[in-house]
Amino acid sequence: MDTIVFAYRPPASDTEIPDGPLSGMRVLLQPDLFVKNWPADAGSKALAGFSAVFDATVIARLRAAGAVPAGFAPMAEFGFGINGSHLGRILAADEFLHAGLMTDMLGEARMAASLAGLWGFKPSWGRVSRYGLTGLVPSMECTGVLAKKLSDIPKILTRISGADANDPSMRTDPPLDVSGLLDATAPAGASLRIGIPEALATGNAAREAEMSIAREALSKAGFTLKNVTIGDLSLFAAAHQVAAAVEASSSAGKYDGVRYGFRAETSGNWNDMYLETRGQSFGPLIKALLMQGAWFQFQDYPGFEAACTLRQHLVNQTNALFNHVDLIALPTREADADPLTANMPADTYDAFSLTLAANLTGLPVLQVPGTSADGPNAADTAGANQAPGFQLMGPAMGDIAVLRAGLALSSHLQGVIS
Amino acid sequence: MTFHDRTPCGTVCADHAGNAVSLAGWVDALRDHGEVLFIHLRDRSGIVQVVIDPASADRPVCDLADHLRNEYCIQVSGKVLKRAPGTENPHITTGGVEVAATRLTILSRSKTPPFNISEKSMLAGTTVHREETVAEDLRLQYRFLDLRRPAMQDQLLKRHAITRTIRNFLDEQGFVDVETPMLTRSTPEGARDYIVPSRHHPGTFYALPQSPQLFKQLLMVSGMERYYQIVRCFRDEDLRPNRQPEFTQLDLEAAFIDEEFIYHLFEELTVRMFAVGRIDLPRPFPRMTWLDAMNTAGNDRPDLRFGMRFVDATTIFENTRYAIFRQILDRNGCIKGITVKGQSDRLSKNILQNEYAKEIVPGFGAKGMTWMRVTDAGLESNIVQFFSETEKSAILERFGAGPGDVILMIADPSWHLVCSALGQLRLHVAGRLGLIPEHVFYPVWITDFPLFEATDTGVTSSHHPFTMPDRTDFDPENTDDLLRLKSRAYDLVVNGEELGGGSIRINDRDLQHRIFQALGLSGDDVNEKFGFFLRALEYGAPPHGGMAVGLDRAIAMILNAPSIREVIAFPKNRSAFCPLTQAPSEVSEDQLAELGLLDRGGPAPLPGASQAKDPVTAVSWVSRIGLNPDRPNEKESMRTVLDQARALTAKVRQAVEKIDDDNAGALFSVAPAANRFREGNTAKICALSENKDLFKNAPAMKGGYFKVAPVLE
Repeated sequence: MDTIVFAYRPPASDTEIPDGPLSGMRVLLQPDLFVKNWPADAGSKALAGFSAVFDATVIARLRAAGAVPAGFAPMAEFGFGINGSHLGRILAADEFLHAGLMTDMLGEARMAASLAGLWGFKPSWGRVSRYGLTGLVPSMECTGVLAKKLSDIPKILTRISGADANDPSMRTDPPLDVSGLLDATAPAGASLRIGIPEALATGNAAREAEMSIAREALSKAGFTLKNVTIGDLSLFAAAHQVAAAVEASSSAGKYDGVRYGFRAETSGNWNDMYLETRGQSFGPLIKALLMQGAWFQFQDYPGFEAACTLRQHLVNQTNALFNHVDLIALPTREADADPLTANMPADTYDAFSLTLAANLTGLPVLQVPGTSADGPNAADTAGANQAPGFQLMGPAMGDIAVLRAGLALSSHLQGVIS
Repeated sequence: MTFHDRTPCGTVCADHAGNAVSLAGWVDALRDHGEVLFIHLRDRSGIVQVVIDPASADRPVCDLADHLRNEYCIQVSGKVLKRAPGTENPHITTGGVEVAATRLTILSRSKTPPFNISEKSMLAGTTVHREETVAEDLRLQYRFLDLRRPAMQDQLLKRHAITRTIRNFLDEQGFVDVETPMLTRSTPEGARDYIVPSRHHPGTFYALPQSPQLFKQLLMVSGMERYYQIVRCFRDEDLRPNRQPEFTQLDLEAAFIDEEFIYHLFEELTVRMFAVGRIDLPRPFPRMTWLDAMNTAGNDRPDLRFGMRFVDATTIFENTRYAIFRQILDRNGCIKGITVKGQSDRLSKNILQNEYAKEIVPGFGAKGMTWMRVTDAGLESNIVQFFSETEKSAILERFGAGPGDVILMIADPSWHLVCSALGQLRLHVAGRLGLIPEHVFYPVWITDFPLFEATDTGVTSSHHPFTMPDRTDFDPENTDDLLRLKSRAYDLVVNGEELGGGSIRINDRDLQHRIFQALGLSGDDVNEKFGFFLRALEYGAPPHGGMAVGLDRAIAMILNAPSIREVIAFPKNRSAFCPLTQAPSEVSEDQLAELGLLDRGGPAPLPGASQAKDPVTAVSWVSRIGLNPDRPNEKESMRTVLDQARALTAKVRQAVEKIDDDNAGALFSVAPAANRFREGNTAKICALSENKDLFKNAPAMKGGYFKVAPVLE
């Protein structure tokens, strides 16, 4: 199949994989996670020729559990947006692959899952170690899991989550306890209250259609539906973009061509070396984002602080919703948004307007795949015929509740493999 | 409290045993033996041990002594005692005695100093652990404490001894110390001036002198005959590690003299100065013409402590088949080389070819280097097969080379380039192989400099335009003739460092005019810049000449100090900044207004201001992300991107104003902040660094370091 073009596939006998709970599971990755001796350019010229000198914590834990790192899919530069990312498509198309790991800063993992008709889960921020993740926006990014079978997601998460001494920024919680979750006899949580933000479910034909499918499935699963108000999503986007740009500008400061990666040929002094190296290192989207970040850092720092204040306010507001409902259901993408071609910050943020709230607030969120006219998981390469599906978002550290609801829901979805 | 009977600490000796003494100074170190307290008391003269013993001191004295800390300033009276045999301290000159205190006064308390000042151990057989890693900027910030260190005081005392030697000697020779002004006129020669705005004449500026050159010549016209001054000079030059924006110069000028007078005078003076550092300089100092220096050491300040003088090999290759030499000689080039005696073991093929020929020598400006190792079988090299037998034997003979020697040659169409590159190579090889003897001083006079150097448009003075040429029959319009002129200038060079220089000056107005003419200065220019000086030459100026010696550098050399900052009481750091006073600093708008400096820019923008105002250029610079000049639409697209950034923060601010939530502080991370400590408490080296994996991805590295472009061009 011509859509299966890996960025890197290891030689067959790359490493001995021990037997373990994930034995036989083949996981597709992106080159922003360090796999020792694999090329690790994170999709950027800035890291051209870079190869990882150690395994990321996530990779080491996957290997220890018996999973096989199957290769790298091409990715968007530093995993920001999905223009250039092929992980969802390859995972859907390749019958030998079971799951994929994809960094989620704006909703990339969920968006890729949505376009490919797969399950996608972004855990609570701080659940999964970022050690060995190249990353770009530390306070938003999170390793997301894509899978054909929903039950594979908790199996993987319980292995890769949990405190890591090498990542002091994360929470110190133990690995996610999924015992009982996959047991068929466990209660399905029929008494769950699901909040549906009214403003997002109406006034737009495509979203209305998708959310009515969601309502039907949620009701069939026995959940109680309630209206909630989530507030102005464009404020989430603005706070996200200002903070993300600043964090990206700081994170990308290390790409100066001194210790690794690409260095431009220059004849001048080291200022010229930096200017030219960095000027040629980044693609248009990242370059624009870094310029915005530098603008906030050097010319309008109070603007950045204001965005962080707004972020706190939005986090408080969102957390308060969970006093009245257990989970929130919301659409994943606009019919007219095209995340695969967005190549500037403005259109990228437009494309992810419905997913980025979970990154800003650090909440766990599950992408429930939509049905496809051609049957499950049969989307064409661009995902055009693939219905978007919807998101189920839970309270902070409520990862288990979200996954449990997803499992209860899966049997009521038409045309979706659970 | 009186100090009239104070005894300097360092002078207490066994002869005083039994006497009462009164001391004052600083607590250098303390040693508490339970009841008995030992103090190292330090003043400029040295250190003496004071004992506070309840057996001899009253209770209140002992109680007060409990409060003492290092660097407290105290006064002590007591009795001098000989130390018991075996308890003497060889580290201090007064180690045979101690003072049993009977009275103690704390004159002034001290905070804990930011670094250790004490240099003398209190116990025989132990040494004071001095943290040599004290950052120089910290030392300079607390220079008043740094200078309490005996080693630093010793440098200043010796500096004083050297300047006193100079003054005494010049006084004997009939020289008069005359002060010249610090606020003077900016002249366009040499380095940049430090300028001082004038309040009384708004918009005009004094300049601080780069040297008192014109004033000292005016003093000769005035008939002072013999003048000297130890004077501060100011030059706003590019930063160099061993350069100060202000520096001290021994400036001297005399009338009715010639070069021999100067040589004689300065040889005697230099010998006396070096004698302060217990260095014997043999007289007379050898002399070398500039041409010889260039031809044999490639440098107008040659380091003659070691051999490896240049050998000219041009004529050996007159008929060579070797194409590279052939082309160079066809372009009137030259070939010079050096012999490195007996070092072929340490200069392997690999080092010669891959390090020197490929990396080091190109850094000296030469296109390449030819190397030959001499073995029992003859010459060994990557190009020796191109040489004829005659050439090979001529090489061995002319270079005086035998087995075990290495011959290095540089060939180029430019004689200047050959000399300069080979000169740097000579120093590099000698430094690397340790062939430069230490504690040897080799003074030499360099003479017969060219008067002019060629520029794109004509000529410029090699020294300064007041230097006397060797002949006066030149044509100021004929560049070739001008370039053949020699100057009556001389430099005193020691171990490759220029200690000083000077010249016999022009004392004839017409000659001076022709020199200005040769330099291409118009009559108006000359009058504007040097009118006052030329006028003086019209009134019977005597023949005269002089010399100036960079004192800081000379003293640092005599005292073997690692940098000139070690022999200056209050130096600037390497960035020409004073960490002690935080100079230079901003001044108030009022001060600027008073000086008429505020609106000097007028409507014309200051240079660079437009770039700073263009947000795209400014952000590109601060983030070091270059914009592609070949893609002008990139800059325009970034302008749009920054407009969006402004719109975003505007939107954010509007939203923040509406927040009435008291709990909305700025949130930087959704995970609660927590203190975390890395395990273990000893520093360890990262494994990736140890196994060199860190370098695996380096774009360029050299000798265990990442290699980058030069900081300055």
